[in-house]
Amino acid sequence: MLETTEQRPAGPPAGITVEEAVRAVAEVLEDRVGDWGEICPSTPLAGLGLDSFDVAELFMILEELAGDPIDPRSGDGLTIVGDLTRLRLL
Amino acid sequence: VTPLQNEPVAITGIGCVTPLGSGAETLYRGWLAGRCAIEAGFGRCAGFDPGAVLTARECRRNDRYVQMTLVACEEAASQAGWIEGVPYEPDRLGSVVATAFAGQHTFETELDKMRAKGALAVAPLRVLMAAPNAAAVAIAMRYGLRGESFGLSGACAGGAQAVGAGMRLIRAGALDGVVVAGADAEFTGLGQATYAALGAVSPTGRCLPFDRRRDGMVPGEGAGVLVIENADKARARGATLLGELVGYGSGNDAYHLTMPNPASQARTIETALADGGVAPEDLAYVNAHGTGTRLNDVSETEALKRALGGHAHRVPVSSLKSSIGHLQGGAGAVEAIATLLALRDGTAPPTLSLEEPDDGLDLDYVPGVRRALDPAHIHGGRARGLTNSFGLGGHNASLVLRASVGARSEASVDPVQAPAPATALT
Repeated sequence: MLETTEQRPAGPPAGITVEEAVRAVAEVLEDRVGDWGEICPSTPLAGLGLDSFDVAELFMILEELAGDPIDPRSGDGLTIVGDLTRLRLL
Repeated sequence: VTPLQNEPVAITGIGCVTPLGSGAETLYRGWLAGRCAIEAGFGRCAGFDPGAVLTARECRRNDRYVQMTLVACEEAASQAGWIEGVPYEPDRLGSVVATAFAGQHTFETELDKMRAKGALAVAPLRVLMAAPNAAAVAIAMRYGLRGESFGLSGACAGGAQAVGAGMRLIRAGALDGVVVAGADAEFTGLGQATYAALGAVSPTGRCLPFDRRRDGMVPGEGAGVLVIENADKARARGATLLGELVGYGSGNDAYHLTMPNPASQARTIETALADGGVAPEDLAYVNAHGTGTRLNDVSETEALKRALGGHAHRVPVSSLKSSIGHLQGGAGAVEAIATLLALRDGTAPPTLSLEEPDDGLDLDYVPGVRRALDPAHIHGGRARGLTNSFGLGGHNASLVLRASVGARSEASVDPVQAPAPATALT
């Protein structure tokens, strides 16, 4: 879903909570009409129609929450909103 | 489409975000009242709250200089009656926004991150939204303007050049309406270092145009936005015309990056007057670039004498910058708005802080307190004014505006009341 080119997330956890992850995704999608219903931790990321610009915005929000740059490679393999808690810092 | 050549262009909306607060009238009334918003050597828009106008997402997706432009634009678009829907085909509407530094603060922050943690640390969205074209794009997207739009960089003359570029797009028949603007925000470490090394910034943090004590410019932040339209079409749709842009001139010194050239500046003023068919003695007011640097104020005074002849000593000339600082890319647009409001009220606003005019700087700089414009310079109930903007790189731009005196809004200031004292002279 979150495309990156390498598989080497080595930094510490970003410390994103489930609530923060849900809120961040909802913020990115707030102006959008969609059929994904209410965003929850189990919502599949693939069904949200996030484009690369949305992903950049999502990472920007999460980075502000984490206080440090997030390693985009740690987004590889994430499938649901709750997985965003597994993101790591650079 | 028939080109309009030198026809006036209508101003139907104005908006500002400046260190004196949000709103064009707030700027104007604050200036007349002698308020100085410069603190610690910077004109900061300390109370600026983008969330009062923009959504949380718009705030997040736009750099500070773009936020300021959008907030000012909302005021201008509302006044022009564009909020409920644009009055012309979207393909016939555009946006031109000048900025000197754009999102320089953001660029520096992202560069620091990249150097510290590598390329993956860069937030691409932040870089995109800090670009010099970002404000023009944001306006186009917000109001659905599908005609020509672009960012413009002419250093500290850019704001006036954006207004002039919009005029030309309308006169050429390319567009029916244009949002023209200038904006800059913050003053970064790199900018501070550069200007300080050039000796351009006041070490005392005081902006004292035309005063013998002046020691440099004081930077500031803010945005000015004008909605301008084909005058015939604006009248046909029943729009209220706040005034008109009647002349524009722009040129380059083509000899030095930082040193002003009075001969070139004079030619630019003459070009603007000729473009509008305005004689020097028709001018009721001149809004000076008036930065408070040693060189600018001497050069501009000389340029005005060359271009206006004897009228240079009869027309009031004042600078807004000792009230709000130098808004750089935003200055020309904000000062065009201030000029328009001064003409509307038949008032020459003051040059705050001017107490000791320097040797050779012998024009009427309206020191300290405002005064009514000379009725002899107002023709047919309409006053004409000139506003100058000169920038590093030798960019020069002058605009001639015209407004009906007394065509005031409810918020305007009575020009005949006792003049307010100059206060808070930082």
